[in-house]
Amino acid sequence: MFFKTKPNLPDAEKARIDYHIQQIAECIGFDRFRLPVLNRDTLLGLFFSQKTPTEMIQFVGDHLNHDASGIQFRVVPQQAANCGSGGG
Amino acid sequence: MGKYDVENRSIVLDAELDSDPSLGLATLVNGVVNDLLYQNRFAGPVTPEVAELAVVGTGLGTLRNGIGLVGKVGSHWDSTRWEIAARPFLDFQTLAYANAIAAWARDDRTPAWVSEMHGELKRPMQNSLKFLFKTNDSFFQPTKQKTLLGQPQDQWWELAAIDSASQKVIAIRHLQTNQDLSEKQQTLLLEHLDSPNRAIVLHAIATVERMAMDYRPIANEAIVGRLRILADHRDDEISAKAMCTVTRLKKLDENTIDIASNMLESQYRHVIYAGAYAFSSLDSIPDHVLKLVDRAFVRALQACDYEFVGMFALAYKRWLDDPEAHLQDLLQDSPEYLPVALDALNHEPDQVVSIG
Repeated sequence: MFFKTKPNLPDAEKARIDYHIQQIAECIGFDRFRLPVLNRDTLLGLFFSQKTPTEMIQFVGDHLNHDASGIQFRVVPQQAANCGSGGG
Repeated sequence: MGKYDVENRSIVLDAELDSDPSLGLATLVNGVVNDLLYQNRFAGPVTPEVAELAVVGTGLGTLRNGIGLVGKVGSHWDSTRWEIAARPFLDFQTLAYANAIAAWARDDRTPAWVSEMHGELKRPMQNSLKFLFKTNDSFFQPTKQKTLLGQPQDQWWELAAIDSASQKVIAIRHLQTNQDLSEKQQTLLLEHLDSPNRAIVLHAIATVERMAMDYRPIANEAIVGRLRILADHRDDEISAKAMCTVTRLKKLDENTIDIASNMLESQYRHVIYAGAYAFSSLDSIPDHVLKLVDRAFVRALQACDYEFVGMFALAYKRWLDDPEAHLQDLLQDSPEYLPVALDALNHEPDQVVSIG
């Protein structure tokens, strides 16, 4: 029996995604779509090798061939919601 | 777990990385890719969805693949409105397709990183990867590396005629004219309005409306005739969209008004909206339609659907000399709704009805 291959998205969604990917490629260059795919262990290895967040950002920037040295990094813990008025 | 702040060119995490290393690292990656897009002046809003597509496309998506941020996304009823239908993040199906594109762009039929994916993502990704290798059917062509978005109109018209539904959709969205259509162009548009593919029909309706708003003669007899027929289509989105377009082009005729009357009884909110929108564009309506509107108005009151209540109230003010007396009469058996109804009469609706 012959089965026609189909994408996993309906036409309208496929069009929307293809369009955005073309937009991205025209913006950052098609060559960046040929960069090696970094596996999960490589990325998580950044954390387990005790790299600082700035070093991690630099690593990702190097992968992308993008100057990430100007990116700042901060941790701002989320405040717990204030549920009570404290009243009276 | 955090965000990229373009103003300060910074990545802000709302928890320490070691609280969830995988999510934290994915957020850092996402931040750097956001920065890449902004620094390269991405043409359009850098939505979370666009950033995630870029993450996967640049080979940094393997952490993201393990994070289920969005199982199922809501969508706007009008699927042609890409600018307001932007998703919060990629859902599983879209993420799977983006991964397929990433592998296809690298000419990798059996990427090793697929083994890290769970089944929900892996199977649809592999289906799309097979499809892409077999058909090359994508607007994005990584091997040709052609910039297409600024291509001249004649090339968009050519693309709108090729045998690929998704590429047709993109091309149709880019069609423009400020003069009469050639016979060939008109025939193509009519074919698209007649297509068995709903995505093509919907985008053709949207494009006809856009072009005709800029250059009125586009809405000629043949095109408007087709739109009127589509207003009675069995597909709820097509019928609602066609009705809204016929209304905006001020081409309602007796038959379309009858169709709009039936829409007021629909089970779908966007279809009711399309019918009500058609009537609200008229200065007066026949008595039998007023009765249908009254029923829809009462249903909106009962459902506490204040957006619709506001839209109907606005229409009553347009049609009736004394809308307050009409509502008092209409709601004499349900006085509990009268204050809300009268309040709606005295206040302009805050916004256009949104239909999620």
